[in-house]
Amino acid sequence: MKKRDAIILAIIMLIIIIGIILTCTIGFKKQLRFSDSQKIDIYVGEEIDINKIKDIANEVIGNKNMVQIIEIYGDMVTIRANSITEEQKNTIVNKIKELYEFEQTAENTNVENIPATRIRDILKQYVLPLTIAGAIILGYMLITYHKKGLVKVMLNTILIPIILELLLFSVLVITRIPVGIYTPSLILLVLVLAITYVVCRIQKLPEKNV
Amino acid sequence: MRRVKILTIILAIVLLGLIAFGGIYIQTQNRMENKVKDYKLGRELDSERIVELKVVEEESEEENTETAENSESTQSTETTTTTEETENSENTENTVEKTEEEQMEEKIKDYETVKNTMENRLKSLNATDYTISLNKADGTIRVELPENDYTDMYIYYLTAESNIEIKDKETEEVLINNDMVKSAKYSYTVNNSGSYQIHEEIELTKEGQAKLNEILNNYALLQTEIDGIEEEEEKNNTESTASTESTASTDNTEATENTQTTENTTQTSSTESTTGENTEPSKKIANLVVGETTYNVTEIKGNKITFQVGSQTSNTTSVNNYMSQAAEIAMLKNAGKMPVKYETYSNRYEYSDITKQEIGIFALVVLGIILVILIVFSIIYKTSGILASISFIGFIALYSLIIRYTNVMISVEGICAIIIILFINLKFNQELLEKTKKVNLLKEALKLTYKDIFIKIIPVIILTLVACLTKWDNLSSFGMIMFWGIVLIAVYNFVVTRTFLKLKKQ
Repeated sequence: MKKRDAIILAIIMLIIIIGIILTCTIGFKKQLRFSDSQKIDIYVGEEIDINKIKDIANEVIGNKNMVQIIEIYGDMVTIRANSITEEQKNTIVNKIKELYEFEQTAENTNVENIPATRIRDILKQYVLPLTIAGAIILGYMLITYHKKGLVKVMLNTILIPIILELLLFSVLVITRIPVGIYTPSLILLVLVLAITYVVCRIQKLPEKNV
Repeated sequence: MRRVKILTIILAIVLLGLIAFGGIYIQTQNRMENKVKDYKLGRELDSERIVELKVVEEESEEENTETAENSESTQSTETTTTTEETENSENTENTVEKTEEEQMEEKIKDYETVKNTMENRLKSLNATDYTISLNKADGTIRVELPENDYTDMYIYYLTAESNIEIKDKETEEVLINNDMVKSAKYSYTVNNSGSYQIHEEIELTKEGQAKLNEILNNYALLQTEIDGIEEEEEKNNTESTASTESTASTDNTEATENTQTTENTTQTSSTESTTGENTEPSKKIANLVVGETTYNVTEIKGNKITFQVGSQTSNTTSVNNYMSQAAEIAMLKNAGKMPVKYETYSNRYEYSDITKQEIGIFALVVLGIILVILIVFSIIYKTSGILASISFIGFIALYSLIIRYTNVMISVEGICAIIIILFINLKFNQELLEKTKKVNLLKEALKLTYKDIFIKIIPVIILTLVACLTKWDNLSSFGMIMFWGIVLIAVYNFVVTRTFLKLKKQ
């Protein structure tokens, strides 16, 4: 192994170890959509301009919020944030009242809790198909590149994608990038890059002398 | 001639681009309508149905009363044992706290069981995309589902109940309860005349089997047995009425025919004795009940009970109805237990928080990066680079039309697939240009590029095909978009990019 490769591998391992420690201690940060949160529903009764509501939510709660239009006619809005205080709720309702005329008051608006979604619930549907794909790819690699040495091919095909995926999760947990709807796409992207890299790497390996 | 050909291809690409990015607008009912099909967006990017399910309050009230009773009882015991040492009272308080904790743990376990059952039900119903979350504090379950023709059906089955029980016909006492039934499956038989009979087979647990063996000593469960008992009862009823009639007639004729009276009375006394025996039949009747419907049991084999769903029929609608009825029973049983009763608290349609404007901005950023790369291509490879870049724009336009017309759903994973395909195509173009420059023989360069790129992406193709075959919407979207992209890279570059470079060489 070259010195440069050894340094890169050491850095990757260090990042993965830090990642594992952080995952065990503080865990992943979740996107608001998947974390424990609170919401208020406001029935306006006419078509809502989501951008105006988003501005109000940003002003009162801060940027960490989700504004969604509810129901097919788009006349109801839900505002979701990690926590919404009574004061924030009142301010939001009153500010929206300045823009639209509707009956609902701050007093009869309830703050409701939304349960968190577990990360394993988000990712578990991907496990079986990716495992099957991994097994087929491993079979293909062993058959195609058996002349390069079965053990080498096997180790490269299994370890490189696993290490790169672990690196991705470690980066996510260290940088506190929230895990959410973009995470499966990142996993797939890293997997595609990893297996293409494995093929390129194995192609460069010299053939084993029989 | 060469220039005309190049110009024609460029114009065709411009037209394709206009159709793909602008659309074809035709006046329909006093308004301009885009005739080009719109993208089919996934749940996270478009809209979804959010259902909140809460624990039915009756049960929680009952539980509350139970806990209240428990606390009262412990209080009363505390008052009666005031003479006891204070250490003992402290111990009892600890046990009360422990039991509360245990109760809470049990509740959470039950909530989780319900959540898993609901998930299993969705899986059995072939739901292709959903998210379930549980609030452990109050048991609220939130289910996010894509909006389609089946959404309401999924929501119905989330809380649907179908208890399979064996009950005493007369007293309605439950002899075998739903918990003693392990699983259920359905099948059908066809006779020579083409009539179908749907059967449901339930498998009992060990406890259930023991209970079944016990009740079969006193109860008749098989329909043939039940029919026999009922027939016998009917017969006895008719005979008893007949006997009362005959005794009445003997009363009337008593005065006139004295010699016959003795015979008649012996007859009535003998019938009375037989009816006396039959009013207490050797076996009681037990019924297999699912929900509120009673079914005919046709076979009992070990721990398996088979019953008929509906009657034998050749009518397709009826067969389908019975089949779906049987499938529903099997699905609800096999999905798992529902230890806590839930009801739908809210069911609403929510638009995504990711607006089309945000998706548009993201697309512009990706296109911007690609444009920069294409400009670099044009600078490095000059005319060939410019032609390959124009070809690339045509590729994006055609790809966007293919995604729309193949009805592929675009999820976040799908967007990721689009980006991967665009970069694979960029790499293909770069390799082709580089090899054309080196080899100077287009045919050879094209052959080498195809070989080089496609051998490298074979594992990606395997991943794509597996993803295409999955039932999960997001992964299937990734697979389908990747599949069409790889096919398009192979075909489009052979037809368009090769022609461009060939014309340039000439």
